[in-house]
Amino acid sequence: MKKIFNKKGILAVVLTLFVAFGCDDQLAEMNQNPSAINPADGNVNMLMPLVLGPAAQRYLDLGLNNMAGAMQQVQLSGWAGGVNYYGWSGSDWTGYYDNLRQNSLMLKLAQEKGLKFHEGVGLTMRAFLFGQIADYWGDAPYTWAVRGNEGGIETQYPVYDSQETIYMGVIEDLKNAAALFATGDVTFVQATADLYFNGDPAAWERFANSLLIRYYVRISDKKDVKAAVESIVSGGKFIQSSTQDATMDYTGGSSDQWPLIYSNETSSTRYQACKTFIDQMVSTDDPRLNVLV
Amino acid sequence: MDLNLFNDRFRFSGTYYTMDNENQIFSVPLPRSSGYSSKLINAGLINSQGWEFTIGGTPIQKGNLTWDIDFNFTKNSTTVEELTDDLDRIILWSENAGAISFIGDKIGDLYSFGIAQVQDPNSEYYKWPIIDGTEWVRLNQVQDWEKVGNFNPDFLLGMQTSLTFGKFRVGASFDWRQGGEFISYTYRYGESDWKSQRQIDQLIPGGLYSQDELVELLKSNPDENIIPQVGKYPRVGGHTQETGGFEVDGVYDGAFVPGVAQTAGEDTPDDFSDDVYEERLGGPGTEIIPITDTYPWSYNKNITFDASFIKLRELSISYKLPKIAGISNANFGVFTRNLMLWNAAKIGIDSERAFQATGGNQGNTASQFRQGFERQNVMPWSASFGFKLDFTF
Repeated sequence: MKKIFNKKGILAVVLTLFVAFGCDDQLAEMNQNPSAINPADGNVNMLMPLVLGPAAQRYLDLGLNNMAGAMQQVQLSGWAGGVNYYGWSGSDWTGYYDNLRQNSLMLKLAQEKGLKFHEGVGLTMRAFLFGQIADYWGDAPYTWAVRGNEGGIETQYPVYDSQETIYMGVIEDLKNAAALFATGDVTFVQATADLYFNGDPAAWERFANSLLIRYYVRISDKKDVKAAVESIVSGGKFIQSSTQDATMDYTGGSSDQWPLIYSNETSSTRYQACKTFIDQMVSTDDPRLNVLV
Repeated sequence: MDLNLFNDRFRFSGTYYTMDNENQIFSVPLPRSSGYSSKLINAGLINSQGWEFTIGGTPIQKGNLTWDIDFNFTKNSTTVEELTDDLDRIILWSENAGAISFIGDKIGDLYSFGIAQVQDPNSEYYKWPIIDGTEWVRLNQVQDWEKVGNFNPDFLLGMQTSLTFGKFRVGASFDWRQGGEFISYTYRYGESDWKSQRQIDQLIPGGLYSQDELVELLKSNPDENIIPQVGKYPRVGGHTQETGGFEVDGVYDGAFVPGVAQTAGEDTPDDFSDDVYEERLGGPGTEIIPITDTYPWSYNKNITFDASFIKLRELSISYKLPKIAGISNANFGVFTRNLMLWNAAKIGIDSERAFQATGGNQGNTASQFRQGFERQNVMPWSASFGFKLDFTF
């Protein structure tokens, strides 16, 4: 009899333990993976290629698919509706906002750690990406965008801002970025992480200022931007030759290849140069023909 | 409830259950401008109810002859009672619409993208599909999707029976699934390349008739010849001149999808008086195209089939061996499995294989599994045959 009582006693103790410690606010702590890198400990040099790479690839893609069809440089030999006949369907901005989410983490970390170069890159890329969103879609989420992890209805379902608000924000970001690059501060910069300019703040300053000119011109019908543009031009710190272009070289990564690479018989071989284009090159005996075709 | 009567010669047990499941975990999509694609929430109330019966008996027990028979019956249905403001439906998987359950509806409902049809009940063309160019007008919006079935059965019935005569015993086990549907993407891919006899049989050989005869034929039975139905869709034409193909650029492989062209009037939901319909039955205005281009690729309706089946799962004959030196209950048997399969759909696909395992989470569930969806899951089924020897020491 005594034995049985003891068993029951142990059971009771175990049950009490479960009730007492089974479910409290340690749950959130327990759900943290100690092996994973906490976003707050992220390395800005590791994050930078994740922002710069996709942004450049997407920009390149504009010159290949439907846009290239509209410019009549390419035709497809199959599944040709979009490129050949402008049978376009809606195009969404998922890629841009995903890219901006990465960028916002890099920017936040750079600001917290006072890294001027990285902050400048973050601001420039934010302007570059939001500038494109406003160019292509007009009004779009901006102020409340890419903050879904903060919780709350405003951030999870961000409202649209006017195109004007976005352009003004873009211009503000670019001004701040150019000022940060102008300091020449290269603390913690790792050249290989900067896929565009190998960690050269002067080159980034030119890029930011050139984008600034682009967006001043964009709004020049509505606002007087003459003085602002003139001051940049007189400063001389903007892209003036093709050697100063913002370009991304092949990184050697497996997905980093020219999008028209031959991968199988039904993919890239559909891309054909259109007749108008070839005829023109043949008639002028253009030496670039051999490279293109 | 359990009942055993007459010395165990009649056996019955029955269960009725109703179960509420609260706070399921759902993945709710977010606008991508938030930077994130979805969030997980706890929500909902899902109710399952059903019946389970087993009825069995020993109708014959005379001398050394015994006949046992047992049935087990199950019927279950699961209803989505409540969700949240963010979510008015549970998506189990998406493919040309897909398996979606709206609030108040059953889990397992299967949808197809909608086909625009004449809505005016007074029109002679009521329910006829509306043709734009060469094909049906597709309705992609959720509210226009058409429910074409449910992947859950109405009921399942199993039967086990055995006949013992002296030392011989013959046993058999049957399964019967009644009701429910499945969507076959094997047929979608195959039939878009004309790889099924079923389509050729359903084809209306239009080229063999004069225009007037054809119109008369089609109109004689619009449900069969013009209006798309679950599991089938009308097409008129053929692959060759002899089989009724129309001429397209000198080749007789033309066909068309019958219906009407609509010139819509004012956007008034209940007043159709100003809508004008024009027949597309092979006469003027009908566009004839090569028959290979007439497949309705973006619908589930034409590839939804009845999932009912009856299977003879197992058949066995055994003989009880005499007792030898300490071994009791020695049995020698011959058995075979999956001997017979009777399928309501009659399309050569076992509806029990209507599932697909995928790499990613489906819809707003945590499941990587699509039920009621069959795509190239058509392994030949094996009917095994074996011997069995049992001992008890």
